Amino acid sequence: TETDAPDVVQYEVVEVQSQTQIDRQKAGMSLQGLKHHRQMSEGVQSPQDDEESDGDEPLLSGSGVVSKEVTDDNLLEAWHEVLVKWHQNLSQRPKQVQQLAKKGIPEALRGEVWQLLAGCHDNSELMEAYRILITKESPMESVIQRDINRTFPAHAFFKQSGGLGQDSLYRISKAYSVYDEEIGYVQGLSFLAAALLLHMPEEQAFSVLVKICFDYELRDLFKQGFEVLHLKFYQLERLMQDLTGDLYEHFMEMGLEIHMFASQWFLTLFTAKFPLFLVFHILDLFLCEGKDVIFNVAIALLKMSRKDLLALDFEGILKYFRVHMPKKYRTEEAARELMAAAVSAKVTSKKLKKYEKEYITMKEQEMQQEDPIERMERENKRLLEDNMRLEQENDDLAHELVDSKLTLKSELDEVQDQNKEMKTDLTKHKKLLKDTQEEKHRLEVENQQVKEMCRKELERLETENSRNTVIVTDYKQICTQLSERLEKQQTAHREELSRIKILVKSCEACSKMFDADGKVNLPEPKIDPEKMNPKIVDLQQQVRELELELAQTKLALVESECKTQDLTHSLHAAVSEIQASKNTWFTKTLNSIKEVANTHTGKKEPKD
Amino acid sequence: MSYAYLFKYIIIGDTGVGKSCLLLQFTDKRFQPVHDLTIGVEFGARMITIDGKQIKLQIWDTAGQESFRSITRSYYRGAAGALLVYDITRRDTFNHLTTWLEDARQHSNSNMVIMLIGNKSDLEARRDVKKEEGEAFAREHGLIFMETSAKTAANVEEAFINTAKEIYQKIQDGVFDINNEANGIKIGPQHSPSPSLPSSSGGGAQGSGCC
Repeated sequence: TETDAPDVVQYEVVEVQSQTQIDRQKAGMSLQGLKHHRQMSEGVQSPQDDEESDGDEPLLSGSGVVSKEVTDDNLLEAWHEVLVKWHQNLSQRPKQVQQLAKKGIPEALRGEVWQLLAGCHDNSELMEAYRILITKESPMESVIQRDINRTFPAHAFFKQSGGLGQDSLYRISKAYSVYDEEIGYVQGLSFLAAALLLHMPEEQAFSVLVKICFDYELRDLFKQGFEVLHLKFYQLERLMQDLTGDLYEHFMEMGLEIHMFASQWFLTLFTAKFPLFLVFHILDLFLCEGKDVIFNVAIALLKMSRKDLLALDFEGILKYFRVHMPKKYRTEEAARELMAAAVSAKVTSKKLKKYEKEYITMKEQEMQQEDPIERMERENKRLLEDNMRLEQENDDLAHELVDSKLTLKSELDEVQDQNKEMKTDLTKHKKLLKDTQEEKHRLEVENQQVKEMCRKELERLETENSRNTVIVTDYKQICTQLSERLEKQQTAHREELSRIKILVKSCEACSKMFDADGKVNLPEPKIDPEKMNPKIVDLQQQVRELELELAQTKLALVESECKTQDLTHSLHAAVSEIQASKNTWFTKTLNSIKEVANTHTGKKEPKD
Repeated sequence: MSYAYLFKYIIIGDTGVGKSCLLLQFTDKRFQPVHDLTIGVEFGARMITIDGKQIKLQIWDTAGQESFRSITRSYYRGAAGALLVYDITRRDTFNHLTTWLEDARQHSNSNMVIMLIGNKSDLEARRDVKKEEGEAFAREHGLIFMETSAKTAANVEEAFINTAKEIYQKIQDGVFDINNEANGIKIGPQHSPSPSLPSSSGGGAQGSGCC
């Protein structure tokens, strides 16, 4: 951005241009932006075939060449200075801008300068809104779609159905229709949007479009049955009267009225019929000076064609407006001449205000002068229309009400059903809870009982155990007593034997029969048991019995000890089982313990 | 070129039904698939011959969007004939006929001849409104009916000329007051009692149509 040497100026343009590119990149649309620029330079060639023909065919919208090249170095330098200054304080438009814009903004700078002029330097909110708006549906979608390929059909960027240009135009038009609920989409806005789209990415074009509609009051024209547009027609008529009196007279004679040719001028800001070079130049001035510029341009157009128009009749004039007037400005010179005329046209806001007052007074007078019956009839008709509209609205609302009532009813039913179901569920669950609590209580009681039982059983088993221990001790004692008795008897028996031996020895007859060791020496003495000493036999018998009894007792003792050991084990096991669980198999164990105990007792008893 | 009568027409109907294309086909005998959207009003004129008489037709082609009706309404008053156009491939444009007709009847003179036109008859495959339905609607509302194609020019001449014939017949029958230009009819210079007709009767009627 150096300005030292005039030679660098060419580069500077590129520099400023790239600033717009940076904006594009910021908006995430660099690709589209670049593409659309390429398209634009291509598009510049196409409409030229019609350029030289002066036939009856009207120009299509969006035709004409707009070169980006700037040959006037001084102009570029001036713009550069202004832009540097402007960027330092975006809210303050430098004074020189107005003078420069009147001469036309260099094409390469338009995207940036238009945004600055429209006050879009802090438009991030609108751009953000745009991203949301394009996702929303619009009731006007089919109308917009139909209008898109009838907007700037001469321009390569918008030519192709489903192409980038048409897509952008569709989105921006749809977004506006959603954004401005009152106006929605109106035919004509697409031309303006297209002109903007040729200079900047969608979001930024949308922001400028919104500014033009609201801040520059373009949308007011479309409101309330185009009432403001009719005021504009009157103002233009009065300006014609004032500034091009003879033409006005001629138009009057021919029966030609302003609305027959000027609606487009106001509604599309001249974007719909004229070559692009002029269209853009008009937008330069419009964005710089404001909405009244339309009158300047309109007066200039009429003045420049004054001679031609004066020579034409009604049909000729209308055809001239449709075909020849737009074609007249295919050259830059003609366009510049027109814009110079527009700038110098004596259209003042004072005049416009005066005409506005006139118009209002006239309307009021018309109302008053009108036959009261006619007025009342009209009023009545208006009221009837209002009434009809309101009835319609009422119907719609009633319908809506019925609908919502129905919906609510069905929702209520559903909720009631749900409620009923939940109540049933609740009852069921309550019952279940009660059952469970009862079950718990029952189990607790049972648990208590089982514990009690176990305790008792344990006590019983302990008692039994101690009783068994006593029995065992008793048996041991008995055994000892028996052993003692046996020993005594053995001793007694030995004494008896030795006494008998002595007796035998002392007996002659008998001693022979025994050797020194006392053994019977007789060859098989025939002992007649019946002749045997019954006492010996008896003793022998007694000894055998005692020995047998001793053996049995010992056996019983061992068994008892084993049983006792078993019982102790079982007891320990039972105690730990009781502590570990109280489930049903415990009862089994308990039973088995009981059984064991019983069998044990059963076995004991017969021995006792 | 001099003429015996001048009839003023207005073409109405939903946006995109082919009003501008019908006018272009009638005035220039060509079809332009790519053309500009009509904002406000456009104008076309052509001379025709009925009963050996030269008749000039001046035709106002209007914007179809509903919000523009307050602008186009002022053109009803000075019209002798109206072409009410719908698109045979779009049912909604047929459904809107009633409101268009109400609007036309309300703002025009009662004798205005209305021709109902089902346009785009070349798109038979995409037809959404039967010819019989158009005929029935026309019969019910006292309109003349034709199906046309601005693309192939089928019935386009006939539509404009038959409307003119009907108006001409009404003049012969004395139904129209031909001296009141608000009826959309003007007697040509050779019939005129005064040779300076354009200057004497230029503004009046249409003036009332404006503002």
